[in-house]
Amino acid sequence: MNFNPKILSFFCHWCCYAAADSAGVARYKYPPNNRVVRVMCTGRIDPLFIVEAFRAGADGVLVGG
Amino acid sequence: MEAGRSPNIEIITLAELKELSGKAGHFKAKLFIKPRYVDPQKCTACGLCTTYCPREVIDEYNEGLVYTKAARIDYPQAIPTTYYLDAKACLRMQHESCQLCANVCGPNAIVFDQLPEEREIEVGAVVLTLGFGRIPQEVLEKYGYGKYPDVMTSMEIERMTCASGPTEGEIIRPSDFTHPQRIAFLQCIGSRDVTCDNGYCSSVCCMYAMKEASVVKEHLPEAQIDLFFMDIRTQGKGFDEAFNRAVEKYGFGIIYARVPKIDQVGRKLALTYVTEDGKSHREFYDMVVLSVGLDAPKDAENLASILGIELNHYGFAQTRTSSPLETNVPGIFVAGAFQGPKDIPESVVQAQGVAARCSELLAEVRGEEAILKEFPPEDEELEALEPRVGVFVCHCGVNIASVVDVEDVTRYAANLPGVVHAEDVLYSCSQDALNDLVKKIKEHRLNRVVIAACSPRTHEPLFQETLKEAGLNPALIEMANIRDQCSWVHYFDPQAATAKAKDQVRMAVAKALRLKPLETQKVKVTPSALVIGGGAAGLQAALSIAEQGYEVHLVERERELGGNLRRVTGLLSGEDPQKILETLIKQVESHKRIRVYKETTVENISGYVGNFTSTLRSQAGSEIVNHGVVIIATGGKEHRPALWGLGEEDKILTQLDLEAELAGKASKIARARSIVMIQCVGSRGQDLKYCSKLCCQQAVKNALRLKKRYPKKDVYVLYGNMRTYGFSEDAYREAREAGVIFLRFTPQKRPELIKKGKSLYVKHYDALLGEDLLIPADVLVLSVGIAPGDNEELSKIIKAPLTSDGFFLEAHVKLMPVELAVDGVYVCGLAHGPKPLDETLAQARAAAAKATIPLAKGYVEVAPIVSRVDQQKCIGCGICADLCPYGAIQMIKVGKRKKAETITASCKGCGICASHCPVFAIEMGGFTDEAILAQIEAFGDFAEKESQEEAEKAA
Amino acid sequence: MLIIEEVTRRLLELVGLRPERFRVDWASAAEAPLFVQIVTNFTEGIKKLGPLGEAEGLDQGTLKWRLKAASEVAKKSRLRAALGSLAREFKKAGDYSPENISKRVEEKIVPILKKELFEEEIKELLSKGPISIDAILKKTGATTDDIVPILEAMQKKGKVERKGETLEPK
Repeated sequence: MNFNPKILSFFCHWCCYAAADSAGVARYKYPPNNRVVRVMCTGRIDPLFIVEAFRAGADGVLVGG
Repeated sequence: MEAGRSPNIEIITLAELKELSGKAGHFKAKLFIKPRYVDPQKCTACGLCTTYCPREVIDEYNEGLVYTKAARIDYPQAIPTTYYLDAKACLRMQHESCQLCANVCGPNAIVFDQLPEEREIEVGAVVLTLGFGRIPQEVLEKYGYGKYPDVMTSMEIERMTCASGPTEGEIIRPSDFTHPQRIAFLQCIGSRDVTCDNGYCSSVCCMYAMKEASVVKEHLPEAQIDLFFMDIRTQGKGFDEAFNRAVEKYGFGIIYARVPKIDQVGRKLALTYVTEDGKSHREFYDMVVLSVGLDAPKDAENLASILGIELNHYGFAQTRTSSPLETNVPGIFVAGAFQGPKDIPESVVQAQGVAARCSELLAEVRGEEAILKEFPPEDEELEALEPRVGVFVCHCGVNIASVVDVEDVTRYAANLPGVVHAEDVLYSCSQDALNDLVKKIKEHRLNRVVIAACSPRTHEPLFQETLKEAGLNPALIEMANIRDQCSWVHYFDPQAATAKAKDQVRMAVAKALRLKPLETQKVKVTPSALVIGGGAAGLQAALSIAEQGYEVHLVERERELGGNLRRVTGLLSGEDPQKILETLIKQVESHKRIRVYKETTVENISGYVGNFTSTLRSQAGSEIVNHGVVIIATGGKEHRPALWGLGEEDKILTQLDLEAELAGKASKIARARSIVMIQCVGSRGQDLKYCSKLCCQQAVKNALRLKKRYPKKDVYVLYGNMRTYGFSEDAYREAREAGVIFLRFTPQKRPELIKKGKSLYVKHYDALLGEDLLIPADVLVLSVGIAPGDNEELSKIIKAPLTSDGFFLEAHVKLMPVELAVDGVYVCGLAHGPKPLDETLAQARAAAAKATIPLAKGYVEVAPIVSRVDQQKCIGCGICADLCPYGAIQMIKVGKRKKAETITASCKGCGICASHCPVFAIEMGGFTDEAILAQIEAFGDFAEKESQEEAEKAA
Repeated sequence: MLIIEEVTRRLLELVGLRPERFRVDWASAAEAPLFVQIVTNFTEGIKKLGPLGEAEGLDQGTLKWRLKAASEVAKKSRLRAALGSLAREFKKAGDYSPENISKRVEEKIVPILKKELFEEEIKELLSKGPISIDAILKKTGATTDDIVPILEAMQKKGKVERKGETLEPK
């Protein structure tokens, strides 16, 4: 079976979120499995968010600073 | 980006200045504007024109390493973010044979018949920021450039090492596309070279070569890289440390030699050179990088004749040490590399300084033509209703719609809980779509808006403004990024992209339901500044702020104003430093808006940007002053180490002592036959780790002064690396021509003091002779460097960090070179780091420019992303206050208990306080726990649905 | 963030998740290719692991109630206060080396994580009726050393009664 993982990402507005935008502008490609929650800074990330993401059914959680 | 968005900055590209008339305060400028052939109002920067353009041309932006198209944008972040047609290459314009771009352009932005236009604008001041020019091809050809493909310029390597550049960051030899294993960087190409009329030092190449070599090494860990120097000139703040770290980490070979010749042998490049010990070498490399210098900008002469400004003999703008930002024409200013070769931090400092200079000139009419937008009052009744979400899904022409099924996403959105209206839009950011958005908000009584389109980073401000126009609080919008982070990157799988778009919309709606109106807080500002330190930096900063129209409290610890500059008696430019100082002091002391406090110290500073309260202590007692901003100009001090017998014999002086001698009778000098100067005494690895930047210039200056006054005396300068960067290289050359003897020592074999009876000698190891020399030193002059002032206490008072060397640490080296981490506090002069007078004066104005921003505004506006403490929940543990990187949380007493409170004006919204709060008592504006958890929960719906589908399929 | 990362990682580890499922990485605004690499590698890694629980050998039911317990733990002010204090300690000392973070989290936070998580899990199990110690060990994945003090404390408080190898809620 072809497994399509569900990934939740938390991206920092100034860093990874911006890098993700640039990746778009440059028309790079990457797998369409991640969903993005934007935060102003990775400092915002609470352990609770990560646990809740897994509870919500994420197969993986990526925090991008 | 920020400049592009400001309503008060009009960026006119493709324009040339043809004529300037009038005088300072009232100029008329005639501009000639070349056609772009693309209407910037219509262009959405989708890039289809480039995709379809059949005409390939050499990509000059990428240093000619690759091809681009006649219809293009040079790089995606360009401002304006509008494509253009290269008329010289365009098939339509040259041969009337193609109009593919016009056919595919959705918004019809292509205008083939656009004509050049002339425009006249009225301005009060002119700033020249022409940048720098290229070193001519023929200079590079001497090194085989153009003949041997693997001889490349540093500019080409810069593009090659760029991850989004022509090779996507891969380092390859143009000759055979292999990875080079041995690479040589040659310094001073087109700099410090009188044979090509560029006698000056370009100041930036040593550092950038190190940076490029490091990046190359990261890509090719196996490569061996050698750098060839005359001197290593890494004189900037923290540069020596960075350089040495890189050399150690990457194992660079450092060779002191100027390579005169390169030839190709087989597939290798052969370098022939002579090292300091007189030995001749021939080594083979796979690639040679020419570290090209900064030439004068190519249009400088033409522009100079239009404006009547003077250029120096190298073609850069002529300025003076006392006024580094001014040309000879009043009202015409200069900043950046056109004033002289310089790096990014220096350029930014000058740019900010020149802004202050313009503001001084135009203070009277401040704000008269400023554009301020007005908005209707918020519809609070509507905002108080149950959330009514409107979802707008953007096609972005074909950018989204060609991948994501926009109609499907819109149908899906319409059925989400809380959504009362959903529609798809062709270009949601176009002016008519924005007008329509206002209409729809009113029509459907929407009080939450979700825009599924591009990135909130670029477009949220635009939609927020539209919400304001519709009478809604700007915090009530959420964007789902279905272009930059979806259609553009998942074009290979439209189905998955559509699913992702739906998920992001669902998550955005879930968040939108929890959005609350947030007040953009405005904090009133006390319109005055406290300047600490009355040396050159403090005087200039105080004067600039006062000239711009604001009150200044200038505090000086000593009895007299002037600081270290009082001890300087000569300048390389020939200007009299004491006259400069005298003028500054006179202007400051007679200024009606400056109050000078001598013999006074700052005991305490409390408050935050806009509202500081300080206690000033003098013998007479203490005084409390209120002010909106603080400038730290506390200076540095001459480092007087217990080395070389300093202080033991009166024949042993520092450079500043020598300056005093030279200004007086010079009795100590008159008797001497041989004078020896030693550089880096106590600096660069001795008790001070860093380079003090100005001692080399000072030594050359004083050596020249000695030689002019006493041509027959022997003057020696013993140095590690002679750092006469920029135009002061001229003086270095002049000194050598005048007979000053310069001898280089290595850190391993620093010179030593030898005493024989009453006579002093300096023992120096000469690499060429391979033996020690004994140089008589009737007078020994030590270049001792600059130590930080007593910064520690002040650093604690204002809660701004120091560097490990003890100077104030700027908020960002390049982008915020005069701001400290604490809002409303700025730094300039030696308190920031060692630097010569002209740089100090420019930096003082930069600090004044930044400090005047809140003063001129009258209030500090705080984006509503800040934290807010629920004092009912707060247990007063103080963790948040200790962890906040910006000092934006204070502990206050509420009744008998301690509670945390956000200093809204200082908060940056990072959320560290919230994520570390034991009891979830801190709420982040726009990013509440509730909202983020709702997004996570909404994400979960997707997960379950998909698993169900999978389960069904499996069944 | 580095400390939160480590604490979260340890919590997930106690739940029984594979550490590769949670990753913190860095890319600046200018590093689009690096970003693409990070996302791609992470996605590939998760693909190899399979759906949550598969690589861990945990069934959906166990996963669910363990994560629920973890969520309760993440909300506990005792844990959060310890985490905050540790972050404060690091900010003062300035040594953010991975070894040091790992060491201090192990000393200061992991015991609390273990106690709170297993206590939460045991409570949850007991709420469904009597259960053997063996079953508790199996269900929680904890060691005897981990749960004995918790059970003793619960016994003292009279929340649970021990009958041989079986525990009964009171």
